[in-house]
Amino acid sequence: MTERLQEDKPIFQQIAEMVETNIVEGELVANDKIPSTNEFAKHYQINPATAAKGINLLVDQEIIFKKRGIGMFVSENAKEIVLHKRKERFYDQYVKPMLQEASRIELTTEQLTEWIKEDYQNGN
Amino acid sequence: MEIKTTNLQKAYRKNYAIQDFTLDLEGEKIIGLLGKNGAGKTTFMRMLAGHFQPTNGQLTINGQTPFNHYDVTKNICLVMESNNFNNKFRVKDILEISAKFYPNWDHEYAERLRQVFRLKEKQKIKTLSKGMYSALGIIVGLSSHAPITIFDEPYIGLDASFRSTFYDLLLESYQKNPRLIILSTHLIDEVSNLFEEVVIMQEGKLLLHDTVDHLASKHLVLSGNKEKIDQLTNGLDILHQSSMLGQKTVVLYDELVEETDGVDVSKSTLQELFVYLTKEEVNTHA
Amino acid sequence: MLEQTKLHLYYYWKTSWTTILTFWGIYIFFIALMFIAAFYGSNGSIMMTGVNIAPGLIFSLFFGIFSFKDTFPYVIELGLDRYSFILSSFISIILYTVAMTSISQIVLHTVDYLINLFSLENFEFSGLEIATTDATSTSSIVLYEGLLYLLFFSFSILLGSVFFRFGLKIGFTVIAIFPIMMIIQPIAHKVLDALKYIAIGHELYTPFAFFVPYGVIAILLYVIVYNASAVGNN
Repeated sequence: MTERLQEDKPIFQQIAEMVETNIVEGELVANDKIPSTNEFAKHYQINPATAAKGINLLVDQEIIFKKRGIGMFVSENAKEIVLHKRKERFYDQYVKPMLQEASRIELTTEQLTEWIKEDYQNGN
Repeated sequence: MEIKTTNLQKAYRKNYAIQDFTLDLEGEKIIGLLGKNGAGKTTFMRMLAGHFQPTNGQLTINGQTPFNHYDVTKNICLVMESNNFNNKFRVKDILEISAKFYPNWDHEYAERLRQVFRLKEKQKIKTLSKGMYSALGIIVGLSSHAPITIFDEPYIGLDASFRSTFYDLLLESYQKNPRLIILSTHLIDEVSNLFEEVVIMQEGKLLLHDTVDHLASKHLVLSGNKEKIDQLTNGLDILHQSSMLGQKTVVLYDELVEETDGVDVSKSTLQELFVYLTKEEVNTHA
Repeated sequence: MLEQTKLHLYYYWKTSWTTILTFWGIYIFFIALMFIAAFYGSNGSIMMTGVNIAPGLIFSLFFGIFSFKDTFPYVIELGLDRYSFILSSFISIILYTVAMTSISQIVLHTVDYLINLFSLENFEFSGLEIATTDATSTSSIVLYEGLLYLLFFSFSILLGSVFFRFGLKIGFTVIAIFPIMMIIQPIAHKVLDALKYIAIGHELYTPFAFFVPYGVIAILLYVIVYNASAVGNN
């Protein structure tokens, strides 16, 4: 986890998203142990309470689970949960701003869809 | 540990350094104490440590005033910008003295930190550079394990690399030994992520006391087309605004707005918020 | 209180031992030089009369001023309260007195011993006994020496507290009061009369008279220090 923190987003959210990304990309799989609150705090130089808040966000969504006294682990269907959530958000987060910018610079719908088809099929 | 002040006042002759200052702090947290120069931060911290009495009002720690109460003050370690140590001594003496005076002193940790900051035992305080003097203060503050540990701008003369080391150590020390840590600083960008709560003082008064999370969620930065923004924020309390080329950016605090197309919503850093909250506008006259 | 007193005495010891040692080092070195000069140069005689205590008293008169500034703000910042500071100051003044008197006596007797050993006739080194009659016992002379150290050092610490709390202007004003008092005749007479009670060799002398200045100093020190800020007035 070497991603850097950004400034315009709450830190705890970024911590949660970082773990989620790792799960989606397969870096972390079910039953893998994730770093402790203190390790997160130390690595990113952040308050442990902030790190804990990010972790708890994941626990609440059952993406990870706590084993008392041992640590925190990726849950069995973590990947599905994250994928589901991210797909739901995809339109708002990526499509909508893209379309806004497209209309601002007067791109045609045809041009836009063509690009998407080409690149998406090429595996990007 | 619970710190409570009620209508606290401190006057130097007729100048008030602190006025009507009411604040409650409790728990084991890292708290940022922010404020412009002359806002009264140092005066407040020194009163906390029992260095002098308030002119008026109450200041208690766990229900007891710190002034002339050893039971309270022995649990406090205040590291200031300067004048922490008698110049007569050597590094070794300061560590020995601190070991005796702070009941929870961790000798091995202090020794480790001394090596991290490359301080020589035999070196005289008088001959320490500003940065090394600050480093010694940091070593004492962290190793004291005092239930209330206070740092007042503890890094004068320390380079960015050693400052980063300090932040690492502060977190490590806090995790090993959770306690109330108050850090007063001007380098907000560097340390804002370390804080759980922030207290902002202005002209001797409390301007704001909140958790960093809350502060982040309570404010909004809106930017977009000037007309749209103006329409949206009409009648709202605007913390800061700037416009350029038909685009406008507005910072709102404690206000709600509807989500609108074409208006970008984002967040400021703590440093920016601090500046918006405390900056005096310069009025240029034609 | 006991815990705090121990800490204070420790801090006091840390700040003062090198200074005290340096003083005695220089002083003894000076005596040794004179001694050697007398030993080799047989023409002319060297008299060091009554001086065994004078340098020590002058040293005490200044040392207290610096000692206050060197301890008070730091021990307060380290968490001690002012009451224990005052109590510990009294204890450290007494310890200082005992140490200074002892060293002074040891030096005096060692030098006397060496004079006899080398049978030097052109070197004299004597203590306070020359100001007294033969009837005064050695123990009361030693006691007197101690009483003087105590007076000078505690007065100096009091001055130190005045300088620290009220600043240079008021500090020097307080010091200036003494010579001014001696200019005004009626007051000067009274002061001189009062001094008779603490002047060994005078018929009015009694060691108990010292309790008057001690008491005044103790009360003033308490009043100045018990609610003093750790920040000095510069």
